[in-house]
Amino acid sequence: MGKRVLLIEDEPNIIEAVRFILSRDGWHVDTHSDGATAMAAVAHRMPDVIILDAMLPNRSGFEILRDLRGQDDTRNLPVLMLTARGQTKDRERAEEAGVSDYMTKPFSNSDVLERVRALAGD
Amino acid sequence: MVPFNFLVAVCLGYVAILFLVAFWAERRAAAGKDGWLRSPYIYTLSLSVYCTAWTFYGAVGYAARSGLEFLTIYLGPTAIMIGWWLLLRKLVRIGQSQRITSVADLISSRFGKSTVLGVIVTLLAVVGTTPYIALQLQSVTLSFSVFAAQSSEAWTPPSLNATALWVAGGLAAFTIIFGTRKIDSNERHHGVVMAIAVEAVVKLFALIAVGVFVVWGIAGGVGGVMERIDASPIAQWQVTNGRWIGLTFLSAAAFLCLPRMFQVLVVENADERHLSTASWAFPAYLLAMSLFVLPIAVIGLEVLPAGANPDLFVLTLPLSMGQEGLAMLSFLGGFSSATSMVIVASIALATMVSNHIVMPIWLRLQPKDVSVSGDVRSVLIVSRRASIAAVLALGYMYYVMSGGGAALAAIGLISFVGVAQFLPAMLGGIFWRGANGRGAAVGLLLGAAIWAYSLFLPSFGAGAILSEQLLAEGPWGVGWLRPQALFGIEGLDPVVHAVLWSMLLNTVTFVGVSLFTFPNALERLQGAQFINVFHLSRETKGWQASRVESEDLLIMAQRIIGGRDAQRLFADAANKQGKVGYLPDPTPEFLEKLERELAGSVGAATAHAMVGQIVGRASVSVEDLMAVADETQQMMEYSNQLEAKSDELARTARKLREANEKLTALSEQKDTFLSQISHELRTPMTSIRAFAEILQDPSLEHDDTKRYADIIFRETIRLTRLLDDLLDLSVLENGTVALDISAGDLGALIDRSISAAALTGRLTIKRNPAREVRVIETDQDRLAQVFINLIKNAEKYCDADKPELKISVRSVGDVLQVDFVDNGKGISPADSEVIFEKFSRLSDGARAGGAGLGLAICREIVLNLGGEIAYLPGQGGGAFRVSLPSRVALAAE
Amino acid sequence: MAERPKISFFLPQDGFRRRRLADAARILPVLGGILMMIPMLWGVDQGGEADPAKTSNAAVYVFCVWAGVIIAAAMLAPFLARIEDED
Repeated sequence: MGKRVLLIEDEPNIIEAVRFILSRDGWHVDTHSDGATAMAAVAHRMPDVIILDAMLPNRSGFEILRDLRGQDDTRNLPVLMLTARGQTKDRERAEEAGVSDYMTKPFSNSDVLERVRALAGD
Repeated sequence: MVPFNFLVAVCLGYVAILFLVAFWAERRAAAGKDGWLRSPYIYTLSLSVYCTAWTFYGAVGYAARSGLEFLTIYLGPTAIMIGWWLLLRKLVRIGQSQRITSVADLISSRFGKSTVLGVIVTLLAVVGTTPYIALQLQSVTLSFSVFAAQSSEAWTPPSLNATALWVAGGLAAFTIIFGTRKIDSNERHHGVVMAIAVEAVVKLFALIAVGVFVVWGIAGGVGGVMERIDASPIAQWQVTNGRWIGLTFLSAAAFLCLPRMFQVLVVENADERHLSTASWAFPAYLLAMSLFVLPIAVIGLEVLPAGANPDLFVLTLPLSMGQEGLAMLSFLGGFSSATSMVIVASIALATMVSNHIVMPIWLRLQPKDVSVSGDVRSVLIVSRRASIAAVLALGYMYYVMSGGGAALAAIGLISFVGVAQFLPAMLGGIFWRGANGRGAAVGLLLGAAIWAYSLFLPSFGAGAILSEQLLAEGPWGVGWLRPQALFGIEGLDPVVHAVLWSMLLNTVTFVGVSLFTFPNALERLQGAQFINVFHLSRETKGWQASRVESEDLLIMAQRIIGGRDAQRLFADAANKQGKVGYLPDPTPEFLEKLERELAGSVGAATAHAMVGQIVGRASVSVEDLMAVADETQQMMEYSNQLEAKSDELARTARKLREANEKLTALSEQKDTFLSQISHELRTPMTSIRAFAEILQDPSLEHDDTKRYADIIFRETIRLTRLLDDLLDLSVLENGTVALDISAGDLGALIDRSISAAALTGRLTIKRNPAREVRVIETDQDRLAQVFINLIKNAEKYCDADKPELKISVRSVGDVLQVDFVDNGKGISPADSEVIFEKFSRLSDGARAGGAGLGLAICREIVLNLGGEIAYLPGQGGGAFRVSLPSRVALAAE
Repeated sequence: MAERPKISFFLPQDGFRRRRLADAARILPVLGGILMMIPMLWGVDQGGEADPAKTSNAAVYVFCVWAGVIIAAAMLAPFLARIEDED
């Protein structure tokens, strides 16, 4: 398979958990804890799926998503958003910004895997 | 025999003399030599226009028919004059102070300068006076005819109508020439008044001459007259009580209300004091006029043939005795009576018609934006002259159409009843403040209607205007509406009947409507001026004038700008004038200043008017101004109250808005807080859950298993600590924390805190133990919690290569300051404002695990201990200062 | 000649007199009215029960009352003319 997932998340333990879950399924996982470096990575090499935390230092996940949707090459890139603030307002904001799928922390590992697979078109 | 031409020549000569007298009087008045013209006796004589040809000739006829009843016509005016102090004095004062031009003007002006009332009164006056003028024309032509009948057939007198026409034309000319010389109808017509006075003397002299001739020439003295009276058909008292009282009342009312009487009594009055002379002199004149009426009537009845017209006894009696000179004099007396009445009545009516009908219409027809001031003078004169001509023409037409005769002879009393309708409005207007224009109009209209229906229209004879059937059975057969038996009361004399019902219903509706409707502002102001006329026009004399004015000004000013300010203003002005006290002279400078001061409160126009009214002694009384000032003050107070209320409302609204904003902010804070708590709780739980699932994977290697279990453990601790912090914060924020106050050494406390912070050794701590030796009375554990937090923060966030934390202690008064300063790059000013908020995150993302509750908790603890914690900028690194009272107990108390 | 006495005429103690003069001026027409109503008691010839008054006597009465009232008014007038208004 060798499909690539870009994980943008600032919590080390969660990065490790997601990486573990996806790697075990054969995904190649790149991680960034900061929006700016993540955008550069996307420009450098387009991932198949992006997993995006809503609450990041400096630039929030919503802003990053908006940037992604504002660029031609990433307009249709599948983005799965994670948020810890389980509020409907966040979901609405994410959908407005053009999110592909949306999950609330904590999540079940299989769920993450399924959704990433679905987004990647498997 | 008197040749007709001679008679005409005498008439013309007499009229020429009158012209000369009038002209001479005008000249003298114009030259300022009018002292003699302004004599009270001239005024008294001018009142004699009351005695018209109807009274000159008619009184004798009246006496020949009804005995002494004719006296009622003189007793009414006598009562009014004798009682001048009660009524006339006020009427004249009002007339002068308000510059009243006619009875219509009086009533219109009193009731708010009402155009409608002016028109009603004018029309009623015209309707009531026109037949009366016709009556004068008739008497003159009748007297002509007497001479014509006596003369030979050598000359043929022109027809009676033509005579009347010539008389009317001549009177119109005289009246126009002398009655419209002045535009201001309020100015005296000196020429006219003088001519009237001369005529008054002529008619009195003529009647007395005839009387003397009759008593001493025919009857042989007083005793003989008395015997002949006792032997005459009118030997017995035959006046009914109703007519005695009713006609006296009627003549009194007419004396006040007749347009011509109002003209001479009020409008032509040059000096109020003339009234006191006229009060006895005019009744004396009337007495003299009536003294010989009864003898002439009795002798006439005795001497002249049975069919002779008693109305002409004054003329026919001397003629029958061959006394042609006396007859001539008598003729001139009657001519004088007629002409003086017609002249004054037409002036009065013309003024009313011109001022209340023609001018309003003319002004209304003018384009609104055109200034009319230049044109009004000529228009006024033309309209006045045309009105005089029109009034006389009306009188002539009435004379011709009525055909003379008995119907006209009765018109005197009928006319009286018509104009007497003004009386309720007039008296109510000057004595009763509650009277209003609506009441006056309704009363006048109803009274006039009853007069017309019950007296005026029936006077033309049955079948002339009102049908016989209507007179006998009432309209549509309704008996109680019969014109001469209203409400079913029969047997009353028609005149008394009409007086009773018209005056009664007029008065009742006037009062009733006034009671139940409200006057407008102008009516109230005018009413006050009319009723309080004596309080306002007090004549100020000599040196007192200025003081009285100043005092009035002060009183007024106090009501407008308040006592203290007004007194200071006046005292300052008095001081500047070199006077002691509060009453400066009303110099132009002072008045200007005062006006400016008042204008600040009531506006410039009002202030100017108020000051002007007091100083200028204009026709508004001081009391009225006080009333206006009071009203203004009340209005200002009211508006102040309103303002205060609206201020209060605005304050309340602002408070509500603030409360709402606070609630919204609180709600947002709560939302933010909850979502942050959610985030802080969910993040460790995500890790825990994810790794817990991963651990179930049997293929996991041992190292990984151990590592992942360790993560779960640490995240659990993180979760617990978060919950602890939240609970801690909650307790601290609610102020429900139980403090455990004890005395302890500060140095020891810092020692304990450093060791509890469990530093990794990377951070160097610098202290000055000597300064830390002091006892602090506080909750030792809680303060240590703060210190620990600050030390840990320094360790976490100090980004220097060799991190250092300097802890320094100092005392400022009662306050103990403990500073924690590290050598890192510190916190940006923007961040330093939010670091003490819950879940605050620094913008650079520098964060090491904590949920952002530490400093919030620190702040709550320090506040609970009675101190405060602040970030100190400009210390070369992150710096926090904890300030505490030396004894927390002090602060707690 | 009228000015000077006008100021000095009414000293304070004259207030009483002034008011009585004004009262007299008010009472006079009432008194005259009552006297002039007396003829109403004479009755009119209504069947001859009582003889109505003779016109000659009536005339003398009425003219005497009339003259009397005029004389009284003439006596009051000069004083009233000087009274300052007070009502």
